Amino acid sequence: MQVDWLTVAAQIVNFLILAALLKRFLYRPIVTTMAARQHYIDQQLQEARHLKAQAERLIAAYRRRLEDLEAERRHLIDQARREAETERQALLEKARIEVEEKRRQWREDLAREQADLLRDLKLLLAEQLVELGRRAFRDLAGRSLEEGIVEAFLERLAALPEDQRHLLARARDPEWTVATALPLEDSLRRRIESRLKRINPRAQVRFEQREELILGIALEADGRLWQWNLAAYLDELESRLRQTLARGES
Amino acid sequence: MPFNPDDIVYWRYGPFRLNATLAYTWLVMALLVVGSWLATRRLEPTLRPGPWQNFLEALVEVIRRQIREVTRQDPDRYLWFVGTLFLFIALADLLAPVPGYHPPTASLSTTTALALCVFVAVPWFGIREVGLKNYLRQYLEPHPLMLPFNVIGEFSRTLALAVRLYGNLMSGAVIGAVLITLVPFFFPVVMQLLGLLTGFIQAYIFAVLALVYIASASAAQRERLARLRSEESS
Repeated sequence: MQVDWLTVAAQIVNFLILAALLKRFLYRPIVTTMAARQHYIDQQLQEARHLKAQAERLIAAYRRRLEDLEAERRHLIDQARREAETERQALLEKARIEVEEKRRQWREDLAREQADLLRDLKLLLAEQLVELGRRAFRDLAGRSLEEGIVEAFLERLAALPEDQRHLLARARDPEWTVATALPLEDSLRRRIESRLKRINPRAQVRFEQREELILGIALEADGRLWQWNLAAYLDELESRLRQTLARGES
Repeated sequence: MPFNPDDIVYWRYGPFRLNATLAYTWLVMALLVVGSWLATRRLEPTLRPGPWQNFLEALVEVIRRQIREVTRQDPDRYLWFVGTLFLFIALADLLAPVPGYHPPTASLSTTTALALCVFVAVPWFGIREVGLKNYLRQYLEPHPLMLPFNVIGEFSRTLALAVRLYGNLMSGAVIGAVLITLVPFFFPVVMQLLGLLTGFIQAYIFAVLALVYIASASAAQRERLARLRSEESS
């Protein structure tokens, strides 16, 4: 086998040309591309690491915030619960007070109603009694009730203890008032007036009608009051009725 | 003896002869350059390269990794030289089964030319590494009297490489020729397959040997230079 030196020279040139061309068209672009890709990947990784760190920071921040929110929520719920409890207590207290008030008011109303009823009863009874008395007086003694009352008043006036008679006799104010529940006839008025003048001649007697006296007569003189009527009896009757009503209530 | 592609002459002009070696060398060159050009025309540093780009990237990366493993240096300095050696020999041998094709590597002229290239490349890379002055100074080390021995050492090393290259490249062809004379009827097919393998192995061995010579020489230069500099500074 021979070595053809001309071919050898040509092959050397061929090889160098091939090397230059491959360097131009193969190695350099490939190496550049791979380096660029490597750089790109590095960049991406760097970015990904950066993003990951950022995301982790965010996660941590959000977790912290969530915990804060949870704590706040718990706090708010506790607070709301406490407030609700306070409110409930206040409402209960208020309701209790209202109930108490209602009860008190109801009791007062009841008592007032009782009192009204008693007063009405008292008036009715007095009227009935007066009517009864009047009729009885008229039937039995042929006198009116007013006459009876005046008689009784005059008798009591006559039987007045000495110190009280003395008070009347020395009264400074001459204007005396005689009050009755029923209107008096003039004859009766004159009898009362003459009897009073006998005690104190300066007395100027004025007659008045007062329904609350019911049955009886009252004398006002010099700021003092003497009265004879059914009030004492009626008061006793009233207390008895009250007891009876209280028993019925309970 | 195996067929010498130098002897097939297609065209002749004076002393110049266009023989099969040159013609098929050009074919291989054209395939390599056009293939590379087509594949790298639209390269993009995307994360999903196309199949051709992928193949070429893998090929170049394998060569670079080999260079890095052998030399422990930056592979891009030797890539164009060693890579071209490997790709040229590999493709020239791989095309062997094609009918009518004569591998240019079967010519002693081609192997000689490649060996001479390596022969020149060893000092050339050395000079590029340390500079011409420093490179020439190594022949006078450790004493100017050693100059002839240094020169003989350099030449003998390169000559040994050239002969080794030739031996490697020739051996496959010689074994094939011997076996074909022994079993002429069905053996050629098996030989073709074996030829693919040996062609690849030859390309690899040639490239790695060239690389070892170049890299060891330039590494020695660099170490020497570093030693000199440290001596000078001290």
